[in-house]
Amino acid sequence: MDRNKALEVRNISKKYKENFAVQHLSFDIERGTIFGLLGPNGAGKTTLLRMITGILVPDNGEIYVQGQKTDLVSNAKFIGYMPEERGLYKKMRAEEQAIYLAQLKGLPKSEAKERVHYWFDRLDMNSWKNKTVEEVSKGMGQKLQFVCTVIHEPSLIILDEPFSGLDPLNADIIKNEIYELAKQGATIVFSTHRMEQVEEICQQIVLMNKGKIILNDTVVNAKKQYQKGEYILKGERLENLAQVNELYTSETLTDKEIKLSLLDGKKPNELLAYLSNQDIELSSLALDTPSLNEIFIELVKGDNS
Amino acid sequence: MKKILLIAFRDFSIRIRNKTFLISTLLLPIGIILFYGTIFFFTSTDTDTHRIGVIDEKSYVLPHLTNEDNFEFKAMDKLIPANAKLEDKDKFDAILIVPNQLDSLLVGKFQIMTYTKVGLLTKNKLESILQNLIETKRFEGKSIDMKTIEEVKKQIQPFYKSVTGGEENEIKEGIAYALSFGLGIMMYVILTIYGAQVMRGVMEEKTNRIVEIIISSVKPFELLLGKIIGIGMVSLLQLSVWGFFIIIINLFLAFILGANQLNSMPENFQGGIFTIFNNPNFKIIFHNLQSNNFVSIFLLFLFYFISGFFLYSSLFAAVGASVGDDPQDVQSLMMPIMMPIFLSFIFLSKSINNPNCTEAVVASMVPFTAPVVMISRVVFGIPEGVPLWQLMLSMVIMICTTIFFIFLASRIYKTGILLYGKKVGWKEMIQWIFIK
Repeated sequence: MDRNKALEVRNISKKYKENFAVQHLSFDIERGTIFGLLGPNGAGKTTLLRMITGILVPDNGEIYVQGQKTDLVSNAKFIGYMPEERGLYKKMRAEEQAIYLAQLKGLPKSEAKERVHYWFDRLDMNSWKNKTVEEVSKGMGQKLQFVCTVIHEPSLIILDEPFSGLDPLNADIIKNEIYELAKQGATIVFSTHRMEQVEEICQQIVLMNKGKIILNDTVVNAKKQYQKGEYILKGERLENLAQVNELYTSETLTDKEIKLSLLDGKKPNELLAYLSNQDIELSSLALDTPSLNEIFIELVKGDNS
Repeated sequence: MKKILLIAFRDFSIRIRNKTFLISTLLLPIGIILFYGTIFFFTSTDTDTHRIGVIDEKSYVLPHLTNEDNFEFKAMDKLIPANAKLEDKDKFDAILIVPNQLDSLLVGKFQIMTYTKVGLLTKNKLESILQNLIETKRFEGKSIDMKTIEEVKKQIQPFYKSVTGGEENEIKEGIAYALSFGLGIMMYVILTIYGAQVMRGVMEEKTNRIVEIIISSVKPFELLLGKIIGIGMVSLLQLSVWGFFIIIINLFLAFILGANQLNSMPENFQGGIFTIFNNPNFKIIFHNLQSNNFVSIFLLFLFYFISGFFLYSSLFAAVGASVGDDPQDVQSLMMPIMMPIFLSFIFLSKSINNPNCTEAVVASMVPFTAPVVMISRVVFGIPEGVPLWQLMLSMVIMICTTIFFIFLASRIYKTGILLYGKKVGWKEMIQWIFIK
């Protein structure tokens, strides 16, 4: 175990009846990282997150949060967990609810109140702090939910599908708060299947399928690893280019855009040299990096077959 | 422990702020006041004098009628027309026409013409006066004199004395009977009402999807216990409010009774509704009501309520955690829990008639029926209603079973609250007990 690591997962497994929900999982997360946990529905993400928070106990293996073996009581203080299945007490007032949940995390009442005031000011929630949850809009409820997750200043924040059901405005507010928290040193774990968010926010990812890890890397590395030597060429008079030759094969995307796939053994420099001698007006040439979404689909399809 | 209390306090404060709680808490005392009020109303209105005219040509009946029991009889020779304008002193409630023939008289063919609405109670009283008169008349022809009749009809005088030396009398028995039934029913009602509240509370947390947030801060067991304690406190508060009102009402009655006994009440206070307190039967009932051992009954009621509440509400909570929002699922899962409560009812009816019958003894040992049945036995006194060893044994069984079932229920609860969208049966719930 390493005190500098926010989270260490060591060979954990969990079975429901005869089926493995997660099987022999191991990975680490450095402190201050924004981490993405990806996978299709039923991949075992929620089970894994529940084990990290201490709600569920793994059948095998160990989990260390900041160097300490995980258990619910000590975890409560430094983990902030926003589950996918989330809600609030409908008949309880917003402020009262936030204070109550902060107290359950172990904050004394006076401190809980102070933090609630801070967050309510920060996210502009004071005008409806005395309203019950059923009286406010869904977006307001989601803001409150977020505040309740981070109120006790956890060092590990676990967000299961944090943007599902959020309108773009609130999603943006929450996203900025997440960046801010990460900047202050908190480690953020995201679980989602919305790839564009992961691509935008996360530094490191773990991709799960059928309870196992099929990819564990930084976002930059993962994209590099799954590059296929394809280039997007933009410009005028592109029809003057040969469709296939000893250097590449091509695919016309629009009349001003072509995708060129380098043949095995050929180098980008050769392509550049070739292009400079052609009767075309080149405006850009860029490496076509796969989106996480494409990597995800390819990996999961490959794993399932 | 701190978190359990925090949860308990939230459940408590949310519920007592609810309007339904206020209404239901105040409804019972108002009901009691209305109940007493109704009694007073009827007893006081019954003090009105009824004027009855009597047409009795042969003077069969009239000489034997005396002005008593709020009746004033007056001889008449003919009926008064319904539309006649009379002064108040000449008005009658009814006119009784006595048959002229002795045969008809002995059959009792009286005609009674009413001028005002005559109540059922008044009719009964009048009929019983006439019945007595005719009975005497019937005996007259048969050479049996009234003295003999009275001797024969003399009330028996049974005297019950408990072998253990306790005082026993009919009234006390009657009160115990009523109290036993009343407390049994009350136990039944509050166990089901508040048990169901625990279940609804658990279901609310599950369907609101807040439960996972809570159990990432506290153990499911703490959440369960906090909820049960919180709702239990609500029920105790409600019971205390009711108890307070009942005591106040009784103190009020005791004050009036005491004052009456000392004759210190002003003269003009003794009429009207207060006449009921001069009724000797009422005084005896009240005296006996006070002589029952209320403190021990109260403490034992509290014990069986708390342990029964923990037992049942932990089971209700297990059901609440296992179902989604479908009320039909709830119904089928609740059946096995409601069954013993219904059974308690059957045993209660046995127990109030004979607190020491086998059924009552067994039912007061079985923890699921004990709260209702044992409290009904306790009212009859220790050891008359229940020997001390049985009471002690029942209490020990009660405590052990309750702890055991809270443990089982918390295991079902722990798994159930995180599962959504799946129909669950008892078989599956029992499997959850053994999940690591």
